[in-house]
Amino acid sequence: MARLEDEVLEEFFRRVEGDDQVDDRVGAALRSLFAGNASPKAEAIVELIDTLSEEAIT
Amino acid sequence: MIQIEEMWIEEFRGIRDLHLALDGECFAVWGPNGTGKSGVVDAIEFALTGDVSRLSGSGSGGVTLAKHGPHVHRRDDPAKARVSMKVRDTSSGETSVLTRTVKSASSFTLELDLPAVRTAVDRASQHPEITLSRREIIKYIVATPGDRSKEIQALLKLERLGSVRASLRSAKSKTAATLKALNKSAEDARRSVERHLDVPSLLASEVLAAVNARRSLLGLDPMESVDDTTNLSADAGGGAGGSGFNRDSGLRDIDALLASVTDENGCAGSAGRLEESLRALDDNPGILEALKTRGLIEEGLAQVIDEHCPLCGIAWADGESLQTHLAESLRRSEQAAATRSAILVEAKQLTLDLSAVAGLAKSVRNIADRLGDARVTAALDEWVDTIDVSSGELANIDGIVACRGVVKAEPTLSPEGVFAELEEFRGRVESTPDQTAADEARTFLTIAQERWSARRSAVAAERAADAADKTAQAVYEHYCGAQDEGLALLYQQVQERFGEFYRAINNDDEGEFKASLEPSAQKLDLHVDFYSLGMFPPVAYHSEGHQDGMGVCLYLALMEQLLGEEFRLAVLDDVVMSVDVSHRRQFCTLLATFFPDVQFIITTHDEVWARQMQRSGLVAKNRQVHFLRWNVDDGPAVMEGEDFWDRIAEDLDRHDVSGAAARLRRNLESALAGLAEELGGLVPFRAAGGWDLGELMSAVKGRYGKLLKAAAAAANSWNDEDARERVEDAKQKWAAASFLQESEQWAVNPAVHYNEWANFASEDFRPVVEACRSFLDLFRCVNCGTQVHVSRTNGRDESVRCTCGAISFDLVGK
Repeated sequence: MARLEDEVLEEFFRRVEGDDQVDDRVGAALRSLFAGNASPKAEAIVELIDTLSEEAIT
Repeated sequence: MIQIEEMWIEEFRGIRDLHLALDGECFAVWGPNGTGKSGVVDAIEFALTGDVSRLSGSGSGGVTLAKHGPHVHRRDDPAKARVSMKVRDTSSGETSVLTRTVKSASSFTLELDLPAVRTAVDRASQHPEITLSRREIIKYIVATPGDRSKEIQALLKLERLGSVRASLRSAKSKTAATLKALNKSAEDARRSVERHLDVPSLLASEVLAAVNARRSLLGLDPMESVDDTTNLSADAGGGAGGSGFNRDSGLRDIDALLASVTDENGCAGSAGRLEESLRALDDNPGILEALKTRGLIEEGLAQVIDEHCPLCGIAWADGESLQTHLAESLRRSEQAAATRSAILVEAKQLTLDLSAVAGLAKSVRNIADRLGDARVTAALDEWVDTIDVSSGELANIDGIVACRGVVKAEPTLSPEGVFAELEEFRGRVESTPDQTAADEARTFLTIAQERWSARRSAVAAERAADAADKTAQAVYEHYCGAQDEGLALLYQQVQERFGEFYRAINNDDEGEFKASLEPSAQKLDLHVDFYSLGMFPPVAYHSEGHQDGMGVCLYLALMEQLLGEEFRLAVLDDVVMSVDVSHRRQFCTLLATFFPDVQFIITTHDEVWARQMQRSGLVAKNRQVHFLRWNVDDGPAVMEGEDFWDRIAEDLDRHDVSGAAARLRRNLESALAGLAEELGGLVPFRAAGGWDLGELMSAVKGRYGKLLKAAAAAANSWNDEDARERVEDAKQKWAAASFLQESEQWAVNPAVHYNEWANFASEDFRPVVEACRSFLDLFRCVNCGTQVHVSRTNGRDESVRCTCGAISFDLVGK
């Protein structure tokens, strides 16, 4: 079922990248994160989002 | 994927030495319970995975593959316990012999180490689900929606979907918690500015009025506007001594700190609510313990197989009492989980309120330090430290329980006597010499700027946290949407195929059957149609046999999704024992027609079922093994599948007429019993069965004759010349074969004593054999090799046909 998992992930990235309310860099960063770790921990995801959010504010 | 051509089992489980020739085709292993059939299933699983789940799964109670995998006589010699399989990679067609021993169970050898075969074996080893037992199929059907979701997602290897979703959900919770804390920090920073400026709000007009009043005293130009980046103390000076001391502002800070003790919107209120939530533990002290042992109990409940507790080994009165006890413990722990969540929410709020108090205490501490009051400085340092330490403890249940008494007694965690100190300190501050107007204005503006900057930083952090939280929320929702849609599509495909398979088995009485697999959150509801009366859980109205059938159908639909074209091998270990006899033919047809490329290896203790597999063409005559009995020294006594006509010919070649006649009669009885069942032939009722050859022959002949008459009548009613000719041809062949058989039947009449055969020469007996064979051949299709059967719909005979349809006589007239 790796195929379904890949399809779900791809659709997930596509939706994130297509969301105007989400920083464009988030989708690419998530792709990179999931490419390096199939099941990243919550902390890694939070760090990624926090970093990009802080950069976006400042 | 692989298919199995041959296998050799040596000194493994209950088998001493067994060779099976499967030739990559469907294969049946049948025999009474306790004859070693499951040893074959274990051997296949072991050869592919290096494991035997029955020896390592829940309830195995100290049994291990290393110790108990070898035959009991070879238990000290695991190297002798081995399984070899000649496997074929279905993609490349290459074959090699795989061997695995219990001694080196974690690895296997290939006689010809062909990369394609090794890859195929590795792939198969990742799919232990190709072996299916009844215990496994039924769990998909009778499981709770939550467990079903887990089981099916595990089967489909979708755990990663769940783990990613959990990580994203956790990330969302963390960003939300961070935002909540930073909301509070920004609010505290705002209040700090308001308190210092002594204004009711931070409206620009209010801020400008307070600031410009001091700027005017210093002879500075008034500010006309203010925003986050405005320097409120611009041009006011202030020197290197920092913000300095401003008496009025300091007094307001001290008053705010003193007021915090009784502020119902602050620590006092949140500590009260925390205490209220903690009372649930007082009402039921076991909840806390249940919470700690929840995970352990869940594991234990899953492993209960008898009256012995799998966690502590204590024997209960019976397994049911033990399960009830563990289920009750789990229920208590579910209450505990809800209680824990409520406690943590209140504790988090108290932490935030304490953080505000610590902020105030730091402000006052700076004033005390500025005024050189070491005692107050030390007391406030201690207070801030206490809050820091306690905030850490308030993050978990054990810590909350540990500091419950302290929080209840003093919600702000203030050191003893600090308020008396603060009251005295306030008096000292109040009595400090009046500052000059210029000094008061200057310190006012520098402190204002300091707090204005702090507020700006807090608001910036809050904005970043808000953006992060919104992003995390959106990311989580996008994942949920993508996953839910993906799974919904998958489950829709599964439910359609599941329904299709089940209808194929039960088209006579449940031709309108449909199923519904509905995913929701972490659950998967299964509802099935019951005679068009509504959709219900499978266990609601369907019999155990129907549930078994559903289990296999759902399994097949799932495997089809999981492996697609790679679904080429499945081991069904006694999985359809509850399916009633009248539906087994359709079950065989299902396997043969929907999965023509899959090698099914099927075990059963049911002889009728075994013969059905053969008659339906699912399993060839020479692709089965009959386990007759078992003993510890020899293992199973087996009779491999054979073409009994060949064996009879061999008997006659050896001039063993007695053996040939006995074999002929035995197999004729078996074949005619099967035909009587397939055609609906009637025999005299006997509760214990046991019809003799003559009764079975009469039943088959009589029934087939009537069927041909009905077919002729139907053909006439439709004026179907082609059908008429085919029926006529069949009738003539039937008449000729019957005549021949009747003329020779005396030779196999039960009344003929074995001794009389001794007077026969082989050549005398061959015509008898040929007559019987010609008769049986009437009922077998030369195309597909299956026997004819009567096809029924809603209890009505519709046609006589073989599986492929090459033989087909309609019975329904105009």
